[in-house]
Amino acid sequence: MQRVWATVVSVWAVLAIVAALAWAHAPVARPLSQPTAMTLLVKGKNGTTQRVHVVGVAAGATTHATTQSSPPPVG
Amino acid sequence: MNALLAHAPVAWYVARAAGLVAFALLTLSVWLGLAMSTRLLGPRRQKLLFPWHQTLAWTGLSMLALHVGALLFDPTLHFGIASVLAPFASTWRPAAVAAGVVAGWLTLVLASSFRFRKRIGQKGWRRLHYASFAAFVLALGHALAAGSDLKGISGQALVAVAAGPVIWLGLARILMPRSSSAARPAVQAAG
Repeated sequence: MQRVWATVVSVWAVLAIVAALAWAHAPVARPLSQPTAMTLLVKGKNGTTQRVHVVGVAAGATTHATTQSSPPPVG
Repeated sequence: MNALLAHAPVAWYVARAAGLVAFALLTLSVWLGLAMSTRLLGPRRQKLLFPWHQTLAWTGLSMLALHVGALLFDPTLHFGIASVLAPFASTWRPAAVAAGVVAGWLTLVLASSFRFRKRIGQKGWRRLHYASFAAFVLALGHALAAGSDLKGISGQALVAVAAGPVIWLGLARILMPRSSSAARPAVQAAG
């Protein structure tokens, strides 16, 4: 009976240490943020309002954001 | 989870875990053996602990087999059969690995000696058991020099926790007067 106990305890101890090692060395998974887009209203010198659609990129990325201007409102 | 396991060095983790558990079990076995030989415990307790001394040694050897087997599957170290069975055959830290290999073989001989105790005789068996000190020191050296979990303070803690009782019980074994009491027949009967 003591052999069974010793084996069971040992196997659980090995599994626990393996789990602890895996946990300690697990790569930190950073949640990738979705690219964001927002619309800005920019007022010009002549009083006209222009909509600017800013398309962002995921946080942490090194690339810069691009802007996309909408055509000026007709009329 | 699958992605995590795909990139995790599972064999390396198992080798480290099994090595630590094997060392813990064999250290416990050494403690029990010394405690029985010093006769600090009464004859009844000695009779109870002797099977545990044997069981811990064999379970420790099983964990040692798992440690060695897992190392063979580690893709980084590239250990071959010879590297884990023959001393100084490993190119990775040859002295540290050799200490572990010799400690493993000594432990196997010591554990097997329980079965051949009657053939060897009580005196020969006791003399053979002195090799357990060498096995313990070599295993401790292997754990400290080759183990990647026992650097710095954790290594010092391991030495204190594992070797402290061995030194204390060893000194007690040497210094305490040994009377030929009923303890010896009790252990013999248990074996």
